[in-house]
Amino acid sequence: MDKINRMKEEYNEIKAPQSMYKAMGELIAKRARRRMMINRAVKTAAMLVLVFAISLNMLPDTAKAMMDVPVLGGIVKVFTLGRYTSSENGKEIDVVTPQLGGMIDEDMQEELNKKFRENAKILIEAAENNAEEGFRGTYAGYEVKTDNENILAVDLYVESVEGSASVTHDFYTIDKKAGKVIEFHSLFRDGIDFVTVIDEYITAEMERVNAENPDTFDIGENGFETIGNEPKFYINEAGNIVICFDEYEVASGSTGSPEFEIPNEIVKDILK
Amino acid sequence: MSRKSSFEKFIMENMDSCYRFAYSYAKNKEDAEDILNDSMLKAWKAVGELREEKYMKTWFYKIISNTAITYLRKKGTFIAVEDDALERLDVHEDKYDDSSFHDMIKTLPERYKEVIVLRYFEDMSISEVATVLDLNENTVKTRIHRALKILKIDLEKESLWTR
Repeated sequence: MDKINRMKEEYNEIKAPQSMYKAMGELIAKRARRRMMINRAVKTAAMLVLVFAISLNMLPDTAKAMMDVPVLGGIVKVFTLGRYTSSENGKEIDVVTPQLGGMIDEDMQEELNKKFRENAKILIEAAENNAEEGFRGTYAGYEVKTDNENILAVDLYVESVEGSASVTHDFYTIDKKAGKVIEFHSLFRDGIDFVTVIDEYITAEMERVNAENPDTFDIGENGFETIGNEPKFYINEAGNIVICFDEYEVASGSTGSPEFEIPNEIVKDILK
Repeated sequence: MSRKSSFEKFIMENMDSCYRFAYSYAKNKEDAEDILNDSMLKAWKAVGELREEKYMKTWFYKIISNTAITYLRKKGTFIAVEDDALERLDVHEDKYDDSSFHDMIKTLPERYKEVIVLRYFEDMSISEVATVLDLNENTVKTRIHRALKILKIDLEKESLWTR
């Protein structure tokens, strides 16, 4: 039996080269990107249907509504300040840094831009210094969720692939006319318990989805409990609040980063 | 968790073992990488068809084994040996006396080598080995028995026949 054990020790000394982790990491990253694209496509399709339905309902007023739209759209913009890419030894980094411009509150604008720059720097440094074995990918960038005359909503995402892929998001919804970032609680009337109202809606939605596709969402301990006072959110083109969760936060990775659009009738009585 | 994410997790956590198993067929780095790469891609595409997650390991090892044999056949380095050919194999008395793992994978015929690797290095049960290699359990036992004989390893019968 000694001989077998000796051989087994030698066998166990064989280690997979980095290139193997990288090959698998690329497959994982590919799937993560595709999932993001599918999510996006589904959302766009849903939005098109919605817009179409609205314009049918509002047909007589469409012309009038058009007149209300200011000719000059919001001048608050988000653009790419810089992009950092590198790829070596199974480490892949692609970090896009956004910058905001045209906000009335210039101090707030500079504060945010500074934060974006610093976050990107921290992310790049952490990725460059990641000495773990295996494939490590860091992909960060931004996506404009809403851009109309009232609202600019931007999603700053960070996707890291290490073992498995995970994506985290930071959302910024800017009130173009007021020229500042909208804080969640400021959407609601003072002293109103908006948390419970939205918690109940999201829980019911999750349960509805779970009834169709069992175990899509985790509710309760280790899953969704409450959105809290400062949830991740943005305001979509329809003007509705969308509550967002990071990947793995309330569902398995295959669900991606879930978003819940809160219908106006749920919150219309508590909105400002 | 979807099958694909489970598979990705399984691979990232068991990459070394999977590579070793591929290596035991390939006998060199380059071929082992090619074989494992091929196997991962095939498995990644097909993992949705895997019925139960608990069979992930045997399922994937079966893919590695099949991929390796096809690969080596193409390269012309796979030599099939019939079970009863052992008797005709010219096994010198002292040939395996100080054998290392690397000697073993070079000299032991494929079908004996794979059972040894799975049973003793990967610690699989007889029935798992049978699943990976698409053999019945008795054939696995016979092959292990013969492989140990070639390697001049005396095991107590029990440790071989149980599990």
